Amino acid sequence: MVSFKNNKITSFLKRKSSEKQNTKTKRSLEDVESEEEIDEMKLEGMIDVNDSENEDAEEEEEAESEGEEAVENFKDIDEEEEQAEEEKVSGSDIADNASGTDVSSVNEEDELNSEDYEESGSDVSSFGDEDVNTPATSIGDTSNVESGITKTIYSDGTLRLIKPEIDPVYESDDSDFFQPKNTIGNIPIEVYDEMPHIGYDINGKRIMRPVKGKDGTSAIDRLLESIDLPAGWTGLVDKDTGGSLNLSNEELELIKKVEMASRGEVMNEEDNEYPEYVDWFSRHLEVMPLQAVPEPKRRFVPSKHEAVRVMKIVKAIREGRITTGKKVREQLQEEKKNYDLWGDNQDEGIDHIMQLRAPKLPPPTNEESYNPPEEYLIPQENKDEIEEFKAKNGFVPTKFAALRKVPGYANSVREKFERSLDLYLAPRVRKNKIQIDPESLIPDLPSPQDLKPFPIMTSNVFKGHADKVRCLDIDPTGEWLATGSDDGTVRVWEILTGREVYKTQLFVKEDEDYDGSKVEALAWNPDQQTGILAIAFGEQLLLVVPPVFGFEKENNGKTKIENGFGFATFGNSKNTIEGNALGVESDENSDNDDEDEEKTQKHSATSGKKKVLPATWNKPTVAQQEKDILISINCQKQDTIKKINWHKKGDYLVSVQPNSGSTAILIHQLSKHMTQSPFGKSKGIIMDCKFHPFKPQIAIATQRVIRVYDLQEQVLIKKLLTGAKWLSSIQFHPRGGDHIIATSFDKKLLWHDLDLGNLPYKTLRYHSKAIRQAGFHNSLPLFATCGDDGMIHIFHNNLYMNDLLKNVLIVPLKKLKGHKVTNNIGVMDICWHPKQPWLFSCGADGTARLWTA
Amino acid sequence: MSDEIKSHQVKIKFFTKDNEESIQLNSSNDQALFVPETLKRYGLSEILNHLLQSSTDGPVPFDFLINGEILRNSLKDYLINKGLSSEILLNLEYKKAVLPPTYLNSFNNDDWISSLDLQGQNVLSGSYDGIVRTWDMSGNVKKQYQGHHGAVKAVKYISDTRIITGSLDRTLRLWKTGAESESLEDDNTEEGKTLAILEGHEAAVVSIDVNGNRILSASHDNSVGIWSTNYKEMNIVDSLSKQNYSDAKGSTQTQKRRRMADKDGSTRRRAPLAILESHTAPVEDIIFDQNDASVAYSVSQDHTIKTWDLVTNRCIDTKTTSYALQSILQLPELNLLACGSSVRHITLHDPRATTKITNEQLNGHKNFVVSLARHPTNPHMFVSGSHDSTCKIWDVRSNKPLHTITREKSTIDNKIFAVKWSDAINAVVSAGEDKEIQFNKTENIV
Repeated sequence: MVSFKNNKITSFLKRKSSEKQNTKTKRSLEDVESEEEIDEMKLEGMIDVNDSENEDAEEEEEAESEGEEAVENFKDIDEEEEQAEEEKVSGSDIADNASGTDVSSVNEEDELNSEDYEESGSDVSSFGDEDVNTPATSIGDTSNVESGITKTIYSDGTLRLIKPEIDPVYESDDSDFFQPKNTIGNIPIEVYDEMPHIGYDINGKRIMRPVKGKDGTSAIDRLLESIDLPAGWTGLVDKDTGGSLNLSNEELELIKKVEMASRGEVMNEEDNEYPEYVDWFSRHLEVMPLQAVPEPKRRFVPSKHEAVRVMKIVKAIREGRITTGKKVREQLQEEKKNYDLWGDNQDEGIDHIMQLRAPKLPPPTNEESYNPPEEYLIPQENKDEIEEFKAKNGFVPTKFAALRKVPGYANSVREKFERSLDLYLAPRVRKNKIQIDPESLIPDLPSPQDLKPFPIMTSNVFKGHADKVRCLDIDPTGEWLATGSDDGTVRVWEILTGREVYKTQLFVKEDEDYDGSKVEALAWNPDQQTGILAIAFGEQLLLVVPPVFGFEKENNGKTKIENGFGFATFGNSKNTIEGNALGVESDENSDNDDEDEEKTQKHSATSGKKKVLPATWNKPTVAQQEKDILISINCQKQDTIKKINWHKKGDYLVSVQPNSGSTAILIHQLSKHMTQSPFGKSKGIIMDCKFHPFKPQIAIATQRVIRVYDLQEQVLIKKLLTGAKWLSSIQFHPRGGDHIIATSFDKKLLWHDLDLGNLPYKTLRYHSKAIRQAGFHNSLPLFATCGDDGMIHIFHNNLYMNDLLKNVLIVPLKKLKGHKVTNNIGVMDICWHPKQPWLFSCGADGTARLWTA
Repeated sequence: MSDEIKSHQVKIKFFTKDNEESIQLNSSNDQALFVPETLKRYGLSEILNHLLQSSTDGPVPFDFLINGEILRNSLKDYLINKGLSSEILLNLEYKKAVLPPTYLNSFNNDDWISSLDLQGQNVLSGSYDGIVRTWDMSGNVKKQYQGHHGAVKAVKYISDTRIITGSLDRTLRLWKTGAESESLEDDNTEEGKTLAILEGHEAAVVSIDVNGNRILSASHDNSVGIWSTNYKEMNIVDSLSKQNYSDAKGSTQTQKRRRMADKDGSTRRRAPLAILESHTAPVEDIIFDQNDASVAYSVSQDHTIKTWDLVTNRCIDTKTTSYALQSILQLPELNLLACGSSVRHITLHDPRATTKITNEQLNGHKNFVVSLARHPTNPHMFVSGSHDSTCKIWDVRSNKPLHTITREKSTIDNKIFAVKWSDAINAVVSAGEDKEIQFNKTENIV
């Protein structure tokens, strides 16, 4: 591409130079008029070649001929006379013209395209080749015209010469091929990397690679080239030569022009896109200034106007109207500190573009005035108008003599004061309302459905007692239920059928010698092989073996009771002699019994002061024998035994006489017919007393406090503050041991975990009246409470015995309703079947009930 | 329009397994027919009567079974419950309906009646007053058997001349009955004679079953005793009176009681052939397998049903339920054991299945189900007595009772302790706390 352009440029330049030579020769010919022939020839040629000029000339001639007669002649001659004359005339004409138009024609020729020049060039050359010496050649004689030129006629009849194409021969000086050209075409030059040549020229000769390669000199060359780039360096490899392709500045300019042309921009060579800026008007004093106006006066006379303004500022500063920044800041601070509560804070809060000020209320109108002009008042007569105005504006213009006569005036001051007071006293604390889902406060308890079985319904009603049934107990085999009632009977029932199988009448109310004692408590001996029932009757403790067990068991029980007699008498006789009593006891019972030490200690303590035994064990009288009483333990204090509890081994029995002071709690030993009072000091009114199910401990409940004693160490282990005002009963958990539930007459059920301090772990208030009794199931995770509201509540409890980290789970399961409330007393006692999920209850309605799943 | 929507039709077809001629459908009627799906038993019965055209003695009430299940509601309810399409053909088996039992009469006793047994026209009753009585059908006490010191809890006929009774006094007694003719002539009741006192249980004997010459007793001492009907087979026990003097240990009152017991001193005392101990709570009921005399089933308060092999005297299977069981009955044709429970229902167990515990529950009672008796012939039907003072007649093909028998002469809360189904007079005999033996005629149960 570049090379091609190059060629064209060169040929173009060459043509220009030859043209100039042509014009020079013309001028010389004109100057030398003597050589006519040559001149004519040339003119003739000129005419022939320049057809269009000729025509123009003819038109000019016609224009001229209008005024001259000679023109006609000329035409005639033109048609009829000889060529020579004609040639002379025309030649002179043209010669005249030519002298004037010489320069312009040359100029015109410059503008003509190259083809025209070629034609003219070839013309010249052809003339040169031909025999110039044949002036006789006529126009009409075509045969003389050189070969290749065809003559045709234009449409208007004039002659037209068409010359053949010029065949540029090899020797022609405008040939482009001044150097070998690589002819490998599209084959990439890299293919020849291995070869010594880089391709082939048009003749099929190799174009050798320029000297390069492994010798050091060329490497240095390249190094030098890379250090300072030669002018026109492009970094490309000339495909034709194999050397680096360098372009000259002109070539680069040309490329630039071509690129611009391709973009559609036309660029004049003279146009400089960025001409150098000449700063004519600068601060430098020119030797020859562009203007020489003298400086105005105001440039150096002080300004009166400024002086006035400065004086104003000075005056303001002096007067203190303009303050310094420090003072301004202080003032602002002061304003911040003291907030003007009552000020018109109109600008406040408009610190955001989106904040819109409330539209201003329209100013009050004349009608709203308390003293409006007369014309605004509506006369009282036209009521319609008044109504209409009122409906529209909400008021009626009224006239008052003075502002203080306006009805609202009287209270306005007070109202203002009160409003201010409200604002002043109103708490400005934002109250956060806490959103708590009430559901979330309910503990997540398992469903009672999953905790089955537990008692849900009455299966059996034990009917027969004539008065309220105070107490009941089920025998350890789960076969017989014993109930004690205020009608003086103790009855034993078959649990499944509700059949009364045994009854003993302990007292008859109508008897004259009845002392008002009642059956207050019942307890079967926990030893399954005895069948002994302990009955608390007044201050007596009666042991009975109901004849329902069969000979062997009954005999076993009876012998167990009677065996103590020998010992008791022995002990009694010894008891008068202090020391022996101690000795015997320690000898006999040194095996494993819990109360030994306690007892001996007590005896040593008490026997010194008084020799009165806390209780005596008596053989039954005849009357008692008829009632199947095997032994009666008569306590010293005339106080009703309210609670009894067997130790789990069945040898010890604790009885509670609440108001007996220090002997309120008595521990009776069956095997030795011995009674002891473990406490020397009164603890208050004792409500209940229970043995620990497996540890040598005893829990004693006073009205408000539960104390747990270790019987071996004889120390107080724990004092439980129940928080109740009047406890009714306590119960150890039969398997967990260290859990006590306590019930109270003030409707509370308290669960004490002995490991968790001395406050209740849970306080449950489910009963609506006093709670009388609570009971744990022996083997199932159930317990129940009963109360004077006639209800029995069944609870599930899970001690998590295997997981010490978990606290007890208590789930209320069921409310059992069935007992009638009589004289404000509901259910008086409950107990659980030893194996089944069955509950027994007895109440003031004279019945006992069996509740089953 | 709305009528059409309401009364979708169901295609049904009647058939019966009954061989009775009068209720067979002839071939012209034996076709599938469309009936409204809202029809219940009564409507279907009307249609069937119409088809049978046995208008000679009025319409016969029918019961209907679909796939062995008695239809208790409308056809629509059945289809919905079973999730069936209403476009299927329902094959309805029909049988003569069980009519509600009708009250016949009651015999009045002096005390609660704990147990009953029947033999032909005779009724044997054990009472809480410790006396066993034999009644004839006119309500006369033919014989009295006095001897037990406690309430009689179980009575059973061994043969025409032998009965066995169990009591709360922990003993069983084998009695000999005299000739019946004598007692009928006299107006006095005859005293039965104790052949032997069977001792060995330590607590009340509550249930007895007899098969061949073997007696099984269930006791509240958690054991099952095996005895023989022939006292000679059993070992002799020294009477208490004999022990009395050799044993000096008895307490004073015991000695007194012993003297009282000397009355029985002359009676033979026998020990059990074996005592089966595996239950952990009082055994409530025991039965022989009716097909195999060497197998027995017992239920206990410890929630289990135990299968005993009487050859080796071992418990061979234990099914544990989740509630105390009170009574058991075998339905040998269906291979089922029906067990009455303390949680008010009757469960059906297959004794052959060792793993599956419960087949079905029959719900309806409101208290302990303490007595069960099967229909003399119908393999599907039995009657149950409960502490809720009702007896209920059941068909195992329906889990609801067919009929409920209430007490005629009583107020509320009169527990039923014993129920039997009499073959001879086709009546349900029940007795309980109200001291009445009540007869309820059950007709046309085949």
